Amino acid sequence: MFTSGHHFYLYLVFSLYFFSLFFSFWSKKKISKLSFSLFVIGFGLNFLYILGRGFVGTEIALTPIVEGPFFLPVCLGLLTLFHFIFYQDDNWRLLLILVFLFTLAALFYPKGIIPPTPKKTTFWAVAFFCSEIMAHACFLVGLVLASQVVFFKKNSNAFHSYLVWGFVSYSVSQIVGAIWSYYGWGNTFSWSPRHLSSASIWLLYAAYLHLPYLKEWNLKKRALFAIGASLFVIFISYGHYFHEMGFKRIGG
Amino acid sequence: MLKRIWIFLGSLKLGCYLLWAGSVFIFVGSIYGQDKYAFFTKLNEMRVQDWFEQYFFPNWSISWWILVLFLIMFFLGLNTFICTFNRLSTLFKTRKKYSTKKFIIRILPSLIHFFFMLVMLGHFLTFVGIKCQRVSIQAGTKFQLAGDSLEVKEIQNYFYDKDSPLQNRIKQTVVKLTSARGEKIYLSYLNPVEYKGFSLFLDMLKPKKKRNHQEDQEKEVCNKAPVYHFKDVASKNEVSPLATERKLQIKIVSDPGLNLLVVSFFIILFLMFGYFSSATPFYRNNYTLSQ
Repeated sequence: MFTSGHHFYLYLVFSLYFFSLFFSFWSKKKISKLSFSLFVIGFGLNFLYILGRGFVGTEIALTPIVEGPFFLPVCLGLLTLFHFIFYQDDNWRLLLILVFLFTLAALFYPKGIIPPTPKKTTFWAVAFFCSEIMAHACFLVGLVLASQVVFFKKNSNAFHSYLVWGFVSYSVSQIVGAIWSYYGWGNTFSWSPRHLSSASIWLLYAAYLHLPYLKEWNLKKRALFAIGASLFVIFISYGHYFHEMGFKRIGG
Repeated sequence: MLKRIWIFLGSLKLGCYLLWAGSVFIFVGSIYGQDKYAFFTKLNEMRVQDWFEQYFFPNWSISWWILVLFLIMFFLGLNTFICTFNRLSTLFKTRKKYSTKKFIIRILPSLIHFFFMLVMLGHFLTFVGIKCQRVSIQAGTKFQLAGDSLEVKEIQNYFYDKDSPLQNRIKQTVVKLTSARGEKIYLSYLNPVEYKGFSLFLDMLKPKKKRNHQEDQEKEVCNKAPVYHFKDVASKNEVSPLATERKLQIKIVSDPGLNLLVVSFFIILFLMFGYFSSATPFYRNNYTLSQ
């Protein structure tokens, strides 16, 4: 594939996101349209870039495609597109900031691929990373939308649906992860830091889902909780990503 | 008095606090787990009561959180049971107030909670009933399983293409086993085999090193890959010392909670999609809460 091994495309994607964000501050309709178009082109290229990560010479490896630091901006981009289409409000510009920041983070991350071990070459592994990172993206969008409630006194519960579906996606990841873990290692649950921290996030958002039914937990308090929980997710996930930075890689 | 205890134990507020507490203590556990990876992962292959007997008390300063976690999970299970029971009894009393569709939507969260309890039960059965043993293998190794003798006839490694940057790395390993009655069993990574009530998994362990053995064992890749690689890329097509040192193992597992767990997992997912797509559609701003 033409993007395979060419990390220049990631820099191009970053530039497109940058200009898209820059133009998004203009209120003129034409410039706003230009901003959105740049974003769509950037998103398309970003998608092709991560797809290219899966072509390792003559082999196709799926797990490098869904490696967190690179796959997260794509998930965030997808949610931004989704928000633009279905919500039809201006919040997509805020989500663009997220896409921009996490693409920036990807630029500083080692771009080679971690060679896939035999236990990673399964559909369950790909399904696990896809659903987990999509859940992270939903939680991050929830963070941005909840910030509006806390810091700009906006009376909107738009963040709630992202957190709910983030939780559903996270539950999918826990289940497919358990199945992968069973096929690979013979346990559905492992007492390892990775499994434990995932379970910790799941319980936190399970608690969040119950909050709207408690009278004392008004919108602002729930938004604050959403912000705290999302920061916790960033801490955990980037903790793992930093840990992986030192691994032996091919290319990049 | 009993009624007050019942109401307290089944309250939503307590449920939320227990979920938070569970989250906090599991997180604390994950921090301990980073330093003592091998110590805690022994729990994966032992019955929890045996682990407590052998490892918990002598190492309580690092393992205390597990006891707290089990207590929290016990009360969470109790809370979920009472809460679900109360909700269902109220729902069935007011059944006539709702159309069938609305009633089904209202009953879904209780069903999700019911299957969540089954998931907890499945985990509990695994923790208290798991049987696990490891057998280091090479061609010719014989071992006993459920009164039957199994022999490793052949171990075949498959490598990535020579033109690929992944060259010299193992793509798959197939182990051919035969039983005393001549049955042939093929075992490979990610393809466990059922044999006489046990599941057989192919696993590989990094050899113990004197110098930094502890460090190696306690390393874990975030995305679950083992730290080791199978063959040195720079080995000029020869099997490197690293590759020959790897120890292949067969992990033999009997997990009494597995079936309950997997079935409950999938039913929960199905119910979750059903409930949330009607109660909290992704694209709608003003969601409704059905209590």
